[in-house]
Amino acid sequence: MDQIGQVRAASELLAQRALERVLDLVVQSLDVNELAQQVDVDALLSQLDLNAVIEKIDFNVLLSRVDVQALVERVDIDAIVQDTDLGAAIAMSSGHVAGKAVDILRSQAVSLDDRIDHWVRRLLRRGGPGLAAPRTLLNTEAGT
Amino acid sequence: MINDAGRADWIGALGRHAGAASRFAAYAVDVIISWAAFTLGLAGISFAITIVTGRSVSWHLGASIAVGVVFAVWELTYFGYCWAAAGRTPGMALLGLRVVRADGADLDPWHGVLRALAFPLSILLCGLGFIGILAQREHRALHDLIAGTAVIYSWDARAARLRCLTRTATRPRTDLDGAS
Repeated sequence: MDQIGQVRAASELLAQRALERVLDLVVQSLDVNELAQQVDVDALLSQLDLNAVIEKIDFNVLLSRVDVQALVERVDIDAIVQDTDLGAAIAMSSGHVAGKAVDILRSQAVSLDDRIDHWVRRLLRRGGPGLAAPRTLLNTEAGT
Repeated sequence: MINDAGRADWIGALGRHAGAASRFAAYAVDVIISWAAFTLGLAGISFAITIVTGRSVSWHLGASIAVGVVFAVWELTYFGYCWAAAGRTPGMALLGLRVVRADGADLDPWHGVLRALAFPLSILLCGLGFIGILAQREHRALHDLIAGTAVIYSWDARAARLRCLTRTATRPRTDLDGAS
């Protein structure tokens, strides 16, 4: 029985090695790119039930792992507004029109303030900077 | 046009002491609003008296001392309440101004009321109390000095900057090219 077992084990090992060798040769001879080109992806996808796949996904768990804050901070909103029609959409909103009018009013007022301040400083022969900010705001609000 | 509203230069003034033009414009808006509210109130009271008594009553400023006194009290209440509650009046909110303590801290109700009480002094001294807005380095009027307050530019800089960006984005390309 031992001899029969040894012969069987040896033959199984031989068969396994031979199979591995054959598989290596087959894989080496295969052109994966050509094979991939022959695959009909559309047909493959048509057989896939995406709804069933999506239903199995727990989006709450998925989203809880995403750091949305970090994601948003990485978004360059200025660039998006400048490069897309988002700016036009915002510009057309009624709130924006009112905001634009207020902006014009404020910009004119600030400009006039600066001019008046400039004239007064020249009249009083006062040097140094123009409109200063309160001490505690210099490092906070004014700095933004 | 002194300044192009499409440019964001003015947004950088946030937190600085507000100048004379902004403050005068805000005050003018407040006078119009408070006067309109007072006139509407008087008209409402007159209408109510006419309905109840059948007599026609017509009040207007200058008609009697009492109306003048009530108007003065109303103005004090208007400015005092706005400064004490929010640190700004509707006119100041429109022009993007806010009253703060002299060191930049938030205004507390007491100093808001004190500023409103001291405000008439600047007017009663033939307007000399307002000279500080022009001449003083921190643009503080007499009532500011008494109440220990200052007026600064205060607006939503992020929203204003976004509006400026959208204007730049929606401006015709030729205009942008011409500007550069």
